[in-house]
Amino acid sequence: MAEGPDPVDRWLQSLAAFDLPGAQPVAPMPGNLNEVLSRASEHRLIGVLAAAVASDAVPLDPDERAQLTLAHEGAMGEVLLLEEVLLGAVDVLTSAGIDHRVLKGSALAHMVHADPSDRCFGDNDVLVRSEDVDAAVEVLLSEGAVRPIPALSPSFDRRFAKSVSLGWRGATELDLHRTLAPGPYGHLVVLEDLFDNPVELILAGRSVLTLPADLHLLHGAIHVALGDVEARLGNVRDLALLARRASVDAQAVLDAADRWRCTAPLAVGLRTAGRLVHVRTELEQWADDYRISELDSRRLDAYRERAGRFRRQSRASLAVLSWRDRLAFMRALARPSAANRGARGRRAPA
Amino acid sequence: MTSLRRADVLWRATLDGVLIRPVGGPEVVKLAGTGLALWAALDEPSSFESVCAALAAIHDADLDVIASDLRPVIDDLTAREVLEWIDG
Repeated sequence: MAEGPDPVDRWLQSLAAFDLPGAQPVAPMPGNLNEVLSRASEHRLIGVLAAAVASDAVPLDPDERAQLTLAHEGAMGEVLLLEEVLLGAVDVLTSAGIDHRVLKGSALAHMVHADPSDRCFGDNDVLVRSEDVDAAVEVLLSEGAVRPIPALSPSFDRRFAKSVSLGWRGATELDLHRTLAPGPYGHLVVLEDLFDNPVELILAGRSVLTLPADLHLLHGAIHVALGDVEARLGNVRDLALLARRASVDAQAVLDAADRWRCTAPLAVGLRTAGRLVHVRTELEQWADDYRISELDSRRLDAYRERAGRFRRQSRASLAVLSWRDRLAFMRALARPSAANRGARGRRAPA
Repeated sequence: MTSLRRADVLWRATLDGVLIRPVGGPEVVKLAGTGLALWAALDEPSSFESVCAALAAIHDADLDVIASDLRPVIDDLTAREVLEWIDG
């Protein structure tokens, strides 16, 4: 999460808390607008900035407002394209009889934000069951998807991968998820839970299934804790909004996290979200009081620092896999398929 | 006849109006300025006259002026498959 002395980073944290219950007013904007727009765009906060300007919480002169309007229109044009192609992917999976759930961007824009125009996103994320991953990839490829990096081994996608990244219509990215996180915590998620109690969203008159809010919150916390080394503030805001959502059942979230052995990333994510606003929710107070065990501390280490992340996460994954899975996992990493090596410009191991 | 937004459109409000993407359509349609008020007025099935009256009230403007400004916009939105017309 953005912290430290940089005034634009500090200001973006203040913006990320805009309109949250108990939040301070957004601080005066520092620096020049170009820099703010560039950094707000990286953090997916252009929509929140537009909302803050529309409600006069952030004053801009007419030229600056016109500049922001252009940036927001660009971001909204992108999300509309993404939603259109998402519907195409949903149609393909539904026609193939593959159960699926929409994750993150579009789902959160419509479920969690006061106005979906507040939420920017840059790709689509769709979850399918492990046993359906191969069929889902195949049917999407047959409908024009492109897979830049082939599987590490024939069974890797359905057994071990967090997700399969596909190029989808209109040069957009579609991440086809098997689980919610890379590395050890991704292997610990009880995947059947993700298909219980779906919530229906209506997009362009069509029904789309997504997770219930409790599981969006758990996913959001895991994403903030384990996703990028520095969490995007747009994701932190999602989590803060979910933690303040009346329909979220805090005990159900904690029970699911316990079942998944993901209470540590839940706590780390919620602590980050809790720093946006001084008034803590029940779950954020729980996170503040939570003591991370040595085991979880070691697991969380696998997600810090960019360099060597994949290797550290892979090593940490071994401890949570069965013996049989460990062998297959290590074999796939040590001897990736020729197609995978070719796509990554690697030679066969000696 | 009453008009309404087609169900199969995606849209987002912007600082300056609304962007609309008909699913399967060739392009994004932008309604600038008072377009957001028009889009809001079209949320429910409405006759052309009632939409004009709603916008005239919002903008405290002459009904005839609103009607003559609005007619080409409504025709354009219909041609771009953003609006549909139903009996009633």
